[in-house]
Amino acid sequence: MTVAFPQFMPWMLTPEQMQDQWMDFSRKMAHLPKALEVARKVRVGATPSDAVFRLDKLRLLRYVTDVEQQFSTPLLVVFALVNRPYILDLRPGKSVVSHFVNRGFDTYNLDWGVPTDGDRFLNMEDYIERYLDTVVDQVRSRTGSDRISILGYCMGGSMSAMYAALHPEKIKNLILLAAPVDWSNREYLLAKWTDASVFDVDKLMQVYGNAPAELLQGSFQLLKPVSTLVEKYFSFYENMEDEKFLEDFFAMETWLNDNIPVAGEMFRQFVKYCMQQNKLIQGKLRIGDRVVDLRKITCPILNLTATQDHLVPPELSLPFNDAVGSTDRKSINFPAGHIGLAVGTKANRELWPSVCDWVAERSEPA
Amino acid sequence: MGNHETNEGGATGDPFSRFWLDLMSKMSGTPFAPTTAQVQDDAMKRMRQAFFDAWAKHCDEFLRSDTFLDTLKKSMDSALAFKQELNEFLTKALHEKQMPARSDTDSILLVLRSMEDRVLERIDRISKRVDALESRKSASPPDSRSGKRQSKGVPQ
Repeated sequence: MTVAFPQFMPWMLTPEQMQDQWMDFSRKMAHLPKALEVARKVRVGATPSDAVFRLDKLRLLRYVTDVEQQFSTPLLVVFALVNRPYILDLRPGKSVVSHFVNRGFDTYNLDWGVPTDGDRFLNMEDYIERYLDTVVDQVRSRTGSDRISILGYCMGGSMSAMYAALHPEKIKNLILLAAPVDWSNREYLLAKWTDASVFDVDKLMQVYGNAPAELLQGSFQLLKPVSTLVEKYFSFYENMEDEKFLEDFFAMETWLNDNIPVAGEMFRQFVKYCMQQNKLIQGKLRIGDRVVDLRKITCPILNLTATQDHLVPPELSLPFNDAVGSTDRKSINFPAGHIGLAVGTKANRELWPSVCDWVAERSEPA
Repeated sequence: MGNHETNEGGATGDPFSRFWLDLMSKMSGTPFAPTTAQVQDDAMKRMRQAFFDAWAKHCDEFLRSDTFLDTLKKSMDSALAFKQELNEFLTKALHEKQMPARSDTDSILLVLRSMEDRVLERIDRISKRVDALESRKSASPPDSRSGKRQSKGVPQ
């Protein structure tokens, strides 16, 4: 009876299996204090860094290393205004930054800081023509290199592309990591939610000032609710006794919940002109009194996308390669998700070493 | 899956029926021959994954449906209207008490930004003139500082 019955209904447990499950549950619960201890002690950031420059709230971080510098062309990492930039240097073995540092690149990271109510009027011109340009000039003057490589992630990639179009003479190589540039595809979920007929971004900014962190986090979680609100915790329960898993899990959770608001006017302009009106790829986006013309980008381009990216599907990024004036351009569509592209084990094992090779081939030796 | 596709436009095409048919077809597609506890455990995990996949698929369908988008718009509109009324009430209350409200600090911020813009534009113009003078003095190309708002910052 106990053997035949489950053959037809495999979800029915035999008494022995029920006992095993109970033992497993008890063992996991006994491990709970240890898991909480791991959560309390979790540290994010794998590579030591110094803040070498500050302007208003932003900080320019330079990664410190004993590795001898192999290239005189420095690398600047530009992260999105949403969330914190340490996702690119989350933990040992899950750090994009460490690949470049260990390869001998002088590597910098731009931490935009946390905007407050007083920053609500900061706009695209402030962020790109003032902050980013000043930081690029800082890196250039510190390293004595006329042109630098930029790695832009997500919204930071879009901003890097805008900057490269406005100041092509300062860019040696441009690496875009899951960076949206063409919002003509209106079928992906975020496009539907941010459509002008649904989302009144002018009103939101008028009322709230800055884009609230909770709104952004809630929206991102709701894009894949089963995965982010259910499956993740099943996976946590099943791996509760694996300390390495717990460390990675809590480091990731720390980053996911470390949300920051986005300066209101910048958010409004980005949503309205880029996401809703798709002006960037059409060459109609104006920053200050200048038009962003992507054809002016002539440096080597490496466009990295993730096949399972629900936030920035590849079709939002790939048209960039056809819109620029560069002849040396390459795209890699890697099997990962939006965050997995940076912290995934496979990406760190296979993708990033080859990206380092690509940048190394196009950088000046020290 | 065949059932699911057939029913999409059919009489039983309501969201729950489609979800249920999709779930059942996915779960029935999960091979199982539970001869050992390990195999049975794997089969259960696969069935659970099939359930999550079906659930996720139908959540996605719902989240992009007109019903959801309409609800999203209405709830955001009412939340914003409420917040705006609250802001206006607080502004009035603070002004009654002769205290500054956010609208006042916003005005000051805008004045400061406007002043900053004017000063930076002036500096830009002066920089351009200096560059032009320098380039006239020497044949070397001028340092390109024009066309942007230079910021000093603090080197560490």
